[in-house]
Parts: sequence; structure tokens; C-alpha cells
Amino acid sequence: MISNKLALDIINTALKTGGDFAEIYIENIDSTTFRIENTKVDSLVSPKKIGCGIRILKDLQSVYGYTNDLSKKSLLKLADDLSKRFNGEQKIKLSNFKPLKHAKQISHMEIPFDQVDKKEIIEFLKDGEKQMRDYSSDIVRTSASLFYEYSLITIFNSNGLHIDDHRNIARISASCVASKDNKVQPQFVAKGTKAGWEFFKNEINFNEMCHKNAELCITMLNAKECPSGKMPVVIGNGWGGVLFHESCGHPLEASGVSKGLSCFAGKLYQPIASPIVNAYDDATIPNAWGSSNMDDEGHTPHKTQLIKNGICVDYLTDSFNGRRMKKPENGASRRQDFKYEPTSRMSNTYIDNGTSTKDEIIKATKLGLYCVSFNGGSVDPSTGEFNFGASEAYIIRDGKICEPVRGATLIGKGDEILFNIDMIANDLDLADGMCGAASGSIPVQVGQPTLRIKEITVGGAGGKLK
Amino acid sequence: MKINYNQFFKLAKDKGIEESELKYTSNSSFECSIFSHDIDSYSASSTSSLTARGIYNNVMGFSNTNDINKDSFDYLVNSIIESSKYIEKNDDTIIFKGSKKYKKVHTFNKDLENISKDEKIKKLFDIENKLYEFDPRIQNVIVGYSENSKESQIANSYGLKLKSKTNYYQIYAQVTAKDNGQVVSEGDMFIDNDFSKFDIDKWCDELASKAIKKLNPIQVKSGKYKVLLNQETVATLINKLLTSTSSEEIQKGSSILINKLNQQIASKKLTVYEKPLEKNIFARSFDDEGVATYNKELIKNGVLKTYLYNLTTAKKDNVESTGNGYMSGPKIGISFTNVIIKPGRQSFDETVSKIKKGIYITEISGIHAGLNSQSGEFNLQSQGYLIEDGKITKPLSLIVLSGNLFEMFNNIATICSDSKDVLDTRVPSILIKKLSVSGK
Repeated sequence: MISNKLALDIINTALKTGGDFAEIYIENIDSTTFRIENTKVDSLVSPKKIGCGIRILKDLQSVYGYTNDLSKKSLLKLADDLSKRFNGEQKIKLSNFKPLKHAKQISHMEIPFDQVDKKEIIEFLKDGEKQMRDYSSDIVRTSASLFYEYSLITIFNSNGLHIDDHRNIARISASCVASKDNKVQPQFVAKGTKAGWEFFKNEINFNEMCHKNAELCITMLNAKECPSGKMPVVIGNGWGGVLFHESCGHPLEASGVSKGLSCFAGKLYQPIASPIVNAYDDATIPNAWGSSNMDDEGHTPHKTQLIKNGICVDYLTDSFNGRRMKKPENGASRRQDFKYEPTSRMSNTYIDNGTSTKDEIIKATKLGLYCVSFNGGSVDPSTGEFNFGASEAYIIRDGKICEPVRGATLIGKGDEILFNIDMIANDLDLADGMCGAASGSIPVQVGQPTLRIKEITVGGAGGKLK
Repeated sequence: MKINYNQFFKLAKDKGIEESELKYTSNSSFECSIFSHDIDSYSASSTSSLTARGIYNNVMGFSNTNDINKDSFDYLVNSIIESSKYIEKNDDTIIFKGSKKYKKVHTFNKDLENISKDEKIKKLFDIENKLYEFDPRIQNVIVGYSENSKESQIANSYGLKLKSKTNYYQIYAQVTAKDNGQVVSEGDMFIDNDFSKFDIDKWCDELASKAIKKLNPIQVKSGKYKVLLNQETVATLINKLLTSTSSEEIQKGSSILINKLNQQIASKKLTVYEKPLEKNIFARSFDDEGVATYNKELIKNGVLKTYLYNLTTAKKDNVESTGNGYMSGPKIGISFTNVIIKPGRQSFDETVSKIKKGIYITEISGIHAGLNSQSGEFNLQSQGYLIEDGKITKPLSLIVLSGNLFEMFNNIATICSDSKDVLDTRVPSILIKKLSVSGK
């Protein structure tokens, strides 16, 4: 899309006022979304998106600009405008780029989505949707959708890097709404991949996923309101990992740490969790929703251990924030698209297996809450204070999982909750989600085995737990 | 950029698209943030996009692209035709001929562009200094400025052509304060398109003092309390409640307000308007279908006066669109702007003075996970203060406010007189008779 010669002109224009690094990020994206609502194809869209972002760094300052006008005139003007934010002499002049590299593909797509008959995809979605509709007459709205996207990302930078990456992601989702006696309950489920159509067709059971979604929707519709107060809470594997993602993952990102705005700033090689906790961020898992062939600065993705036996051993670091921290990047620089300057973000982030079993954890809990899954949550990285809203939760009585409860919200502090994990099972699982932060919304996996938090504040309208 | 709309409509018609609509949008933005007495980030952008809708084989197709070149019209037309082959829903096939009259709104201020970027950036350094100077316990400050300008033009094959132009700036700051090893954070944002309206001294003092007051919080005992909600909290909650007035939610059976038109749905003390023609940067003369907007009463003395309609849902209920058709992905959904709650007579201070024991909520978070706008149930992490014997006393943290929006707005003790603009919402503080608060 942009010739090497033009890229070279852009880089050198960007650096003419003394910038010490310049980068061009170009993307070309084709996507398609199918959506079925209440048994009919409601929409089918295939938007096209192109764009370019130019970044100049000088010491601890960054300048970023973007446009979707990829003409020579527009890009050189953008580089020139951005360079005017500095007023020094040119220090670096690039004479050519190294030969084009292709990012190593870590995922494999056997059946590309654009080669599948659209009717097959539509029937597939309708079958799943029917499962939810047929489950109960209290289910009043249903929808199912499939999204896939192919993109070509090209990066040039003033270190001579010229690299491109063919990316593909896809996600299938189902949602339903149940209504009865003035109560309304929505329920959503999704699964994403970097593999092809074969993943949805053969590796997961979409009908079963939809059936379970409807079942849970009705269970939660009829559930009582969650009791409140401080109590032991067992968090389910897979989606339960959103707890670690929000409360501990975000504060371990260099964007906050480098400025001292994180509760984990200055805690490297110090204990930040109970000694049974080991945690990783791994962008290299083949076909996983949060993996990448290269990060959005063109670096090779890593598997990074963040917490080892309770000790903080690393942060997720991008090259810009790494400057302030005097620490090299570790392949964690990501962005939603060309409209965002990249920064340190998570990929597939999880707490590793422990030595207990799920049964042992439940049995060891006399009175408490079992949160299987969450709708999501948020965290203030500077204070570490977080909240999660449970989408599926049950009361544990005398070591047994009992009645379901709705509206459980867990709140606490990231730097305290990690010390309060007292049991970790061996059933690690990962689940797909979207994570929103400074550099936009990106696909990530969260994960953990079933684990127990000794005590945490639970909010709910159901009075005291008895 | 000059777009030849008629060329697009002709191409569409030639290929069998009966009626069509084309929208061109262009945006430009400039942002800057400072940290530790230096510019931390600076960004500038200009983007544009084309969005088209068209009726082909009795269904509405949609397409959009930002790859704007001589082939864009072909791409849009072909993509509408391709998608129409599969779409089975044909109740939303309306391209609008136009409203009789459109009222002008003033959402663009050209003076904003005439102020130099350096002057705007200098303001950030002034803010940073004032915040640090306020109190030595203020430890970290991030201050930012962002400015956006947007122009859009919507035209259709019936000859309707409408333009809108908006610009605004935002100044935001996030501060953390530290005392006894405890950290608290506080942020605020100011938005307008008149640069002279920003009162730096007042804004900085308010923000910094809010942060300092939060230091050394306690956790309150779980229980039911009288709860006074500040304007920001009321703004978030009333906007969530109003999503249930969407006729689409009603028609699809997922709103709790089914069959509630002209019935009591809230306290008699509550009157709510939507005023899209209000003089501010959020004003809109027409919605995304080209329907003229108008100011209206949504809830009067607790009685629901209207559902909100776009063209499709209005046709189903045999009524007129209320000008609330807003693009949501490829479909026209329903939304609203400029919600206003009618203020009461009692001042905030007087209201507080009458509370023997209660809680003043100043911040709620985790809305996307903790609030179910369809059922109205919420369990939200909150911050605020204890009210004891008519006075606001200790700061609170790590508490959860629980309730149901519909019950809560039925359970109003007092609507205060202190209306404040919170983005596009103008609301006063509201005292609720009883709400559950979880803490210790």
C-alpha cells in the first residue's frame, strides 16, 4: 500500500526535528459480521477499513498522528506536522530499510471463512439460536452472530524494520433475554479464535453453548438476590480469571507502572501475592483469541511470567514506557487499530494451576459464595480498587454448591486480594473476552483454575448471608 | 472533500437499488497530555468515512468504508446488493423523505480553532501547577486536552440533504493523593466549545479538594441507608433508566415498561425532559434517519408520557417517529440526547442538614458489569461520605450500592435544587429514602 521509498521519506521527514525514533503503522482490514435475531437474518455487513498511524519519539515524549488518507501528500503532511512538535536538529537519517520480514504465523486457519458458503454459516447460527428459543417460553429475545476479520498490518520504523503480518480473528456469540413477572434477565456467551471455520464447526459445540446460555438465563432469572458482606468466595476457572485480569493484570502494565500510577509500581522482586500464586501472560498460544504473531510495534510476542511463587518478577512492557522504566520491551505493545498509539497490554493472561482440586476447595468452604463467571469489571490502577459483577453465582453451604443468586458484585483491592488467595485447584482454563483501555478494545484471554479467596466484600441486595 | 451524491444515487438505481442514502463524515482531532511537567503525549488526526444504506429486493442493506477513492461507490453499491441476498428482515425499509421543518442548532464555534495549540497546551501546565500547589499530599497529576471537530452530511435519493457541524474540547485531569501510605484517586473532565468558559481556579480547587477529602476512608457497616446521590450519579442512573423507554425494547419484549404508557412509573416528584434542541454542544437538529428532533416531556410527575421511536418502530405502532433514530452498527437503533430532570426547591445543604444518618454517594463504577439496565437491578462499587447529624463527615470506600432503578426512582425523598450539567444531562442531587449499602 505504501512504497518503501515513500515510507523512507515519511520516516526522515518525521525525524527532521531531532526525534530519536519514528514508526509507520499501516492497516488494511476486511471484516464480515452475520447477525441473526429472532430466527431471521437481521444484518450482514462487510465494512472496509484502511488507515495509517505515524509515531515519533524523543526521549520521554511521544507524538502520534493518524489518517485514512494514504496518499503521498497526506502522509508527508502528517509527518511534517507531527515533527513540528519538536524543534531540534535531525539526528538520525535512514538510508534504507532491512528486507521485508513476515511475522511468523503461530495460528493455523484450515478453512478460511471467506471460502465458506454464507448460507452454511447462517444455518449454523440459526441452529444455535433455536436451542435458546426452544429452551423456555420465558425467553423473549434471541440472537446469534459471527464476526470474522482479515487484516494486513505493515510496520516500518527508523531502526530499519519493515515487517508485515497477516492476521485473522473470528468470534461467535449468542445472547438471549428472558422475562417474567416484571423481571428481565439478559445472558451472553461468546467464543473466539485465530483458527478458521473448522474451529467453530468441529472443535466447539455451538448448539450446546447456546443451550447452556439459555439454561443459565432462566436459572438467573429465578435466582434470589445475592447476600452481602465479607465472606469467602470461590472463583470458577476460565472466565473467573477476569478477576486477575482486572485487579492485577492492568496494574502490571508499564503504562501505569512507569509513571508510578499503579499499586504495583516499585514492587519488582517483592511479594505481591500469596506464595501459591504463579501468573503468566502468554501471547504465543497457537490459535488462542489473545495471541499475536507480532505485537503492534513489530516485536516478537513473548510468554512472560509476571508472578512467581507470589513474587512480582516482571511487568508487561512496551518500548515507550520501557524508556521511563529503563527496561526492554517484552512484546506486549498492542492497539485496537491505527487510531490508537500502542501501549503495554495483556494477551492471554492467567493464574497457573495449583495443587488442590475443585472438589477439595468447595468441600473446605463452610459458608460462602461460588462465582462461576462474571459479566466483567473495572479497576482503578492507581488505587488498585476493583469491582466485578457475577453473571453466575451460587451459595456454598457445608461444602456443597446450593442455591443460585443474582446480582453479586465483588469489590476489593488488587494488591490485597492476591495475598488472600488460599487455595488453587488444578483445572486451569482460559476464556475469551474484549479488553478496553487506553489503546482501545483488543481481544484477550483471561484464565485461572478454580481458586478461593479467604475473604472479600460482596455487594448485593439480599441482606446478610445466613 | 466533495462527494457527488447524485452520482451515487444514479449508480445505485441503475443496479436495482430502489432508494438509497449516503452519509459522509469527516473528523479531525488534536490531543495532548502532560505528566511530570513535560508533554507526555501529543496526537493529531483527520479521518473520514462513507456510509450507505439502500433498499434492494425489499430489504435494507448497509455498507461502509473509509477507503475513499474512485471505486468507493461501486464497493458500497455491490456490498449492499450482496448483503441483501441474505437479509430476511424487511420491516425497516424506510428511507425518509424529510421533515417539514428543521430547527437550527449551534454546535460549532469557529473561535476555538483560532486559539493556538500552544495556548491550549500552556493551560495544561497551569492546571498541573495549580493541582500540585493545592496540597503536598497531591502526588501524581495527569492533565490532558482533546479537541474534536466533526462534519457530516446525509443525503438520499428523495433529494433530502442535511448537514451538521460540531466542535468541542475536553480538559481532563486525574490526580492521586497519598497519606499514611494510602492512595486515593480523583478525576474530572470539562467539556464545551467556548474556551473562555473554562474557569481554571474553580475547576482545579474543586478537583484537588475532592481528592484530599477522600483520604483515609472507612468502610461502612452493611445495611439500609438514606442515600443522597450527587448529580454525576443521578445522571448515569437516569440515562440507564431511560433506555427502557426505547420502543424497540418494548416491541421486542425486553423492556420492563411494556404497557406502562401514561402510567405512574416513578415518584410524583420526578419530571424528565429530552431537549435535543437545547443550546449546547450535544444538540441535534435531526436524527440519523434525517427526522427533525424536538424537545419533549418523557416523564411528568412520575407518569411515562412517551416511548422513543425511530421510523421503523413508529410505523409498527402507527405513530410518528420522535426523532430518536440513532445509528447503532449497521442498524438504526434508538437513543437520546440532553436529558433534563426538573430541579426541586430544597437546596443541597438544607437537604443534608435534615439527614440524621445517611450516605452521600459521589461516584459509582463498573456500570457495564454491575447494572442491568433491562431489569433495572444494580450492584455498583461506590465512593462517597457518611452523613451524620446533618453533616457530611467521613469518606467511604469499598462499598457497594444495591437496588433497582425503577424502585429507586419511585422512592425519592427529595429532589434538590442544585442542577448541574454532566455531559449532556442536566440533573440535581436526589435523596433516596432507602437503599442497600454493603461494606463491612
